[in-house]
Amino acid sequence: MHAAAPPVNVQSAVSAVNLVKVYGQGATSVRALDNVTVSLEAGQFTAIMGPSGSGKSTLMHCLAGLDSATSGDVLLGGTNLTELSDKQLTVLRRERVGFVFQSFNLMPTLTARQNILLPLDLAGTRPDRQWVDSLVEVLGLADRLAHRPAELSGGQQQRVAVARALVTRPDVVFADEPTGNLDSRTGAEVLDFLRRSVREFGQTVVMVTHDPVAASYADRVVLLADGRLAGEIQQPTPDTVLSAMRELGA
Amino acid sequence: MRRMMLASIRGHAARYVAGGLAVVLGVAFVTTALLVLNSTKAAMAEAVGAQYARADLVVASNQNDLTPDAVRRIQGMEGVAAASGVAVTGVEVHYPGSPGSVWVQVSGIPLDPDLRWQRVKDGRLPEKPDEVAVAASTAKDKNLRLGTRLTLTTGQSRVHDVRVVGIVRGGTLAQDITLVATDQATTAWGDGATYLEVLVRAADGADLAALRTRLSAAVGADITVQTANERVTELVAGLTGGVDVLGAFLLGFAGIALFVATLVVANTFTILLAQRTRELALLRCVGARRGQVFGSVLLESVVLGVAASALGVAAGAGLAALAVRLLEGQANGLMPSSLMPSTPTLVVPFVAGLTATVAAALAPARRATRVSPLAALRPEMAVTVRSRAGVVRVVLALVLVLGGGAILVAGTRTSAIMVGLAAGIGGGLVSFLGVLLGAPVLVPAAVRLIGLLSARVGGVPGRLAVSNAVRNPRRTAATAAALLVGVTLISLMTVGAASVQRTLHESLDRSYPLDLTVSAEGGERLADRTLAALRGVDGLAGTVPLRAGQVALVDDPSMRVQVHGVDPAAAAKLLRNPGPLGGLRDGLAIVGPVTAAQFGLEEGGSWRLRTSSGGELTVRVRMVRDEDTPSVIVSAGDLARLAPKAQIAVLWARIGEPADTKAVLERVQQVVGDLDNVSVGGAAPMRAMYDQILDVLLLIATGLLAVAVVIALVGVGNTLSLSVIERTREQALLRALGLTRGQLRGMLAFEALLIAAAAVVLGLLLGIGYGWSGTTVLLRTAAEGQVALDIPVSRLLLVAGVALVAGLAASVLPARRAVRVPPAAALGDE
Repeated sequence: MHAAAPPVNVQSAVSAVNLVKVYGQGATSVRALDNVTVSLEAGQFTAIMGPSGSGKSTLMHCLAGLDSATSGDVLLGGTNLTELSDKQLTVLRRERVGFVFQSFNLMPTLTARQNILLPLDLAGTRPDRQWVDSLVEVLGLADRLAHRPAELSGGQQQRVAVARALVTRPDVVFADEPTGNLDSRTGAEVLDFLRRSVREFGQTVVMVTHDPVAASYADRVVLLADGRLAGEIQQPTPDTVLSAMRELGA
Repeated sequence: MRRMMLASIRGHAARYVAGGLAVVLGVAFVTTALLVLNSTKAAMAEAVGAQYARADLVVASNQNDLTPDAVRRIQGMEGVAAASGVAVTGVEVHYPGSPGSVWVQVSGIPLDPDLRWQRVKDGRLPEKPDEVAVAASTAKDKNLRLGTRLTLTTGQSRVHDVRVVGIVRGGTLAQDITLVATDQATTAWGDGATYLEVLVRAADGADLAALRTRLSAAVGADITVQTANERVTELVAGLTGGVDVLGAFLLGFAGIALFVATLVVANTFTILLAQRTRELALLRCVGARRGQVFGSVLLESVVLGVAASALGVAAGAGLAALAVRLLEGQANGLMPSSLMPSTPTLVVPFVAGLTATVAAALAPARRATRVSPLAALRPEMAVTVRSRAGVVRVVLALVLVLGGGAILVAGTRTSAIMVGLAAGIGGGLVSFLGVLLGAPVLVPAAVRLIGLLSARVGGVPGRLAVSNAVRNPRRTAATAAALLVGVTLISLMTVGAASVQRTLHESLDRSYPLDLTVSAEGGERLADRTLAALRGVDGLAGTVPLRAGQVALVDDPSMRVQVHGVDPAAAAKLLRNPGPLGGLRDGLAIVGPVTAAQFGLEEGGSWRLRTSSGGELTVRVRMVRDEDTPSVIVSAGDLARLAPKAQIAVLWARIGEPADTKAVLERVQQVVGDLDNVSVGGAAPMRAMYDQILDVLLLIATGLLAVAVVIALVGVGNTLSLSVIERTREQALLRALGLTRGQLRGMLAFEALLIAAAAVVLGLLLGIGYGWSGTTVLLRTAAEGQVALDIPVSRLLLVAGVALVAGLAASVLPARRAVRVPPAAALGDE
């Protein structure tokens, strides 16, 4: 991997520079991201917010190396993702990025334990037993490890997904509407755990959400509208987020 | 509803490609078989019928004893316009440039020009006794031209030189007629001036029925009088008996191909409907009746069936046209020269294909009607679909397998071959049906077992592949079942052929203890050079020479006998079974049946021979039945006393293992080829001939079954690509979590490999079982209970290897599709 030295803040875990993403061609093309430059700091819990169609999911996919940008650069811990091949991107995702999805996205044929260890198995590396045990302990999954996803509640499935995201100690954990399919109590548990992982383990977490309450768990909220950056809030509360969103017309 | 269905077919057209392709292949096979058979029969009828085109009635005698007198009597009868005898006789002909001579049939030209049917392509019909015309196919094969001279030898060993003056057009000569000569020449070359049949042309306005009655009364009891049409029908029926057997054989394989196609189509519908559960549930939500859902699915299958069958018939017609072109002129002009389609040959395959498709869709369509309208409201129903084999199915499968197996085993024990055959075929079919029924239990179990053994190789993608493969037992089972049919039948044929071969070899070994004997004829000796060359032939395990000398009898010194001497110890090493030859020692003479009769010898009697020193040697006689061994054999030591100057006249040899008998035989022939006083005998030439016949039969059967295997592999690819569509999300997730494209390809390849491997393992086991029991049933009586079973390991491994590699190949296209999906696209919650 030939990584160019990042021209931005060394503290940043992941950053976008003049990022443009266009879907489709000609008259029907949609500019999902329009020249976005943003830097997300390491050891912070950042929420990306915006109304539907604001490009927040696209931004996350590009930052996480799941999708390629039309132009601009994405820097993840000193690596320029736009210069990587599909295989290098895959390995980077495996080793340095964790994911939590709205619909849990667990492998239905694997047990909870196998799902948690999947990224390590794919990479062929041995798990750090202590780390895995403490994750399982903190997430309260100890007695559910032998169960398959179909035998777990929604909250349990999402906690398995969180454990899977953290098991590789990635540079960044990306969470895409992690509470979208959960009731408010279990949703709060998951958000609380994401925040604890930032405070206690120094984990960097980037979350996409449209829920002001969820966003209030973050250290910083980045607002997006029509594919452009539309402001940010430090140390947000549900109220400050709600009023900022209202100003965006959502 | 119909608009719905058509939109659905258009929307999912690509997903029907594989199922449709399976039907196209099966229907094409049936069409080709029917068309080629029909054309062959039509060509035969035309060739046979040509002879009677100008006759109204045919007087025929199986004894070939219609005399010229009888013909004259017929000519004189009222209502007869013309009558001529058709002479047929056999002669040996030597073609210039070909070795030896062959026995051919000559047909005479009717004396009455009005009844002549032969038409020449080149030259003219013979007019003089030393002129002949030849069939066009023979002229082509033997490179004969107008003016070529041929030497004929008649049954009375008289030799005639004749000249080719014409080439007869194909299709105007019946069956096996090669030469055409004048009536006079043909009758002269035969046993006497007699005819096989007399062609009769009725006078204009004559009453045929009355004429026939009068003719019957006139010619006598053993002679038949038929109309020309009756005669043709009878001859064609006699000729096409073989074609009918071939037809049943071909159609049997075509039926298997179509059956496999049905399995693939049924599986396609099951998967497609599972994927459309929500869609169907939505239809039910908005008010569609169960019957309407059922009808719409069935109508889809009709559209698919019509399209695929039509394509199949077209493809089959194309293939048949190609086959006819390749076969043209083969088998003495009996093969058709053009495609002769009839309505049934095109309609039957079409209807068969359509019926198979619709029948395949029935069960999935019924299941589709059971979808609850609520399913439309539940997300991701289709992904978690799991099916389990019912208890009833398992019990029924078990009953069929055990019952069929018991009948099969009973069949191998009975000595009544027809009963055994019926039990063998019946039991085999019933038990195989049981296996197919039990496949949803058997196949996943096999997949798990194979997965367990190979998990180390596959890593995580391998583990995932195993769990994916057993996720939907019915689907995996149906996919594997299609392949199972082909693999089972091919290994059945392979094992059966190998076992028949081994049984034949052992039976040959028992009757013929020697592989190869090279003998100098007429009391001559084998030249040292020939001996050295023979001993050096590659593939021979050992040789031993026999010396031959003339020995006088003590009782009547004027009588002499040729005696061979061989070293008993050396000879014993070459024998396939000890037999009488193995017991050879000093003081013993082994005597063949002819010599024994000539000298009035009996088993165990003494025979006094005169030694070279004038003394006397008494040997005990041991008889052999084998005509192939030299007439008298004694030990080498005894022969030295009887005839010290005896020269080497015979070489015995044993072919080494593993032997390519044919190749060794060819090398031996090369050594002795140009020596005209040396002959090659023993069991090897016979063994090579049997081997060749078996190899050809096996090759044909395998080739025909390969169609079924190809269809099954289309099914494997189909199941896999539909699974890929179904699991797009999962695969995107794995890609997001760090599964490389290569690993994803590997995972799908492994899944295909597991399904193929399960089919291969089960198919090999079944094939070996069926092959053995089949061979036992067939050969038990003929081989006097000494059936030798064999597992041709390398051939079976080849079958397994091909099936596995093909299974791998079947995963290529689905994998291409899977890796193209960008991970982000499939993860969105929209």
